[in-house]
Amino acid sequence: MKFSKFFGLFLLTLVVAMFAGCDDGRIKIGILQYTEHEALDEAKRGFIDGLAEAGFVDGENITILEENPHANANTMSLQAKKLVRKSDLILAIATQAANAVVNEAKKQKKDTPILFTAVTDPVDAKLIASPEKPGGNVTGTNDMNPIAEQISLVKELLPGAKKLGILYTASENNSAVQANIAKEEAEKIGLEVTIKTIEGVNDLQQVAGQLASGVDALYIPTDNTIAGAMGIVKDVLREKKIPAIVGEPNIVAAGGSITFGINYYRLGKQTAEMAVKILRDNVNPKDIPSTGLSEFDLVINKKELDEIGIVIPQSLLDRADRIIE
Amino acid sequence: MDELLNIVKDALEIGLIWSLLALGIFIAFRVLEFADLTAEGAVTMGGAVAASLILKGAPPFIATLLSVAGGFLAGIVTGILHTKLKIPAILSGILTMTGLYSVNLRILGKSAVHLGDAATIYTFPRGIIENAFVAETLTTFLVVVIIFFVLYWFFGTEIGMSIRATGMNKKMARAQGINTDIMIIFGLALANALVALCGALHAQSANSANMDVGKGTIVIGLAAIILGEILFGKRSFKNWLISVILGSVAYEVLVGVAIALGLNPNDLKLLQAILIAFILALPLVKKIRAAKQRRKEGAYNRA
Repeated sequence: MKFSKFFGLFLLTLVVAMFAGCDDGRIKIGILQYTEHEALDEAKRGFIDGLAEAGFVDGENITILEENPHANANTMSLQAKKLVRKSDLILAIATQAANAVVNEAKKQKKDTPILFTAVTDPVDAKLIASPEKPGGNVTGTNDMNPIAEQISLVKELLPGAKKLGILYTASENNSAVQANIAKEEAEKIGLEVTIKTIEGVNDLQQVAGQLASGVDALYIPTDNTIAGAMGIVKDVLREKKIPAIVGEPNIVAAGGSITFGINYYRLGKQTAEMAVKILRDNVNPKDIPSTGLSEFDLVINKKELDEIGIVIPQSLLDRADRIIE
Repeated sequence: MDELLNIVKDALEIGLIWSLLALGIFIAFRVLEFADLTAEGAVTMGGAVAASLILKGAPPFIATLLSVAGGFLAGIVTGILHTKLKIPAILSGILTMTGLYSVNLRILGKSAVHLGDAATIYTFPRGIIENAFVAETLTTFLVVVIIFFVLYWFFGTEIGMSIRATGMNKKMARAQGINTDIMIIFGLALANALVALCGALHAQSANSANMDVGKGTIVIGLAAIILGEILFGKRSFKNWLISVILGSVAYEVLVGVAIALGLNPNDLKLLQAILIAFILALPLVKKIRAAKQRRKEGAYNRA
């Protein structure tokens, strides 16, 4: 009985050894994505497509090893170890994943080029020394929003607006940073700002409703919790007849009104350009400046704005990259 | 064969850290028979306290000790909620876990912090041993060995025996003059101190701490305990403790195999849940089968 248990375990591991041991001689690109998320998925898709356009096609001359720990710390350690061991270049999507890969590469004493994307502040996360001179084997793209431009949309959409409400989740540090910048920018253009935070999805409806009653428009940063529950916000907006300027296009699609924000697919492609420089032109990552997007997408949810009863100025419609009817 | 070696190496490095969590959950679930969910908050707390203290310049050893103290306090809270306020065990744990979320966020200040080049308890061993894997694993192994001997000694003392008696039969224990309330509180404190130690070591090994670390840790701990019991037995208390530690490593081997085979770790979660449900249901199945057997024999005897 006892013997058979051990034998089973042994057999299982032997199978793995046979399966995973084969090497096809292609360039191996590891991708560690922290969790399932629309924006992160798009960044990954952009990266893979960007590589393919430059002639690095999965299954032809490169092999893509993809891992996703679904935000589980235990699994992520094991996956990071595997990717560092096997890859010639690694893409880490989101700050946690980037940290895990960089930490693991240090442990294994490997200087495998590591690219990150969808990291809001790579210097604060201690991934790079500075955006201009990353300094090590790590560089990549950040997903900081053009918050000033987003706030200026308030006046463009509603020229008579006086009061702006800012809503975010208390536990999301990323959102707090954006909310503070948004407050400054809004006050610069003469808006009176009220900030309210939620604990989680449970008190979203109540807090959003209260806030919406006293303001002309809402601003919602790239807040993961609210992004996942935009249906609730959408109903509040319809009821109170005010628009919500939001942090990124996916949140507009989920029920927000308008954004001038990051296209994560394009961000992924921009990261792929860095990978191509490293793979084809043998550029050292330390010489590739870490960047953010230079062009953003104006996305308008015409369906919701019609529902709320706001006439969208033609100037905005003309500039829009995407209009949701 | 390389692949196999790597899986075992990774499982040793990570499994030894998480074996501390498994030992903590073992004390709550097995020794005290208390379904304690505090652990999910306590492991995050351990990481949060250790990481933020280290970033403030505290010596790693002190930071680790203080995070253990944090876990100890969390266990006391759950214990008091259950014994003094008469709140059901599961609910007490959930309440503490929920409260700890806010506390942990206060400690961390944001949803994740990164240690960068700050010194951790692994810095010194990594300085003297060239191979980072050997250095880290040896350090964790030392900690686990110390904890093992302390636990083995402690559960042989009068207090330790009293905790075990409380878990086995509360009424009998009380009849022997044991203050079962104090034993439950102390047992849970000890359990969560170990869980927090796991969190502190994990944060220092992963070089970062975040709010997600606690997610699903109870299941990891239970899986390790059960796997250990199946593979290595529970003939004596000493054997049982060793089984839990080895079970944690075995569990990481299984996860490693799943990753190497390209399985989605999400599917693994379901397998885990089924395995645990199956094993927890085993005693009942055995009982039913024994009852059937008796009935059959009864019928035979009558005939």
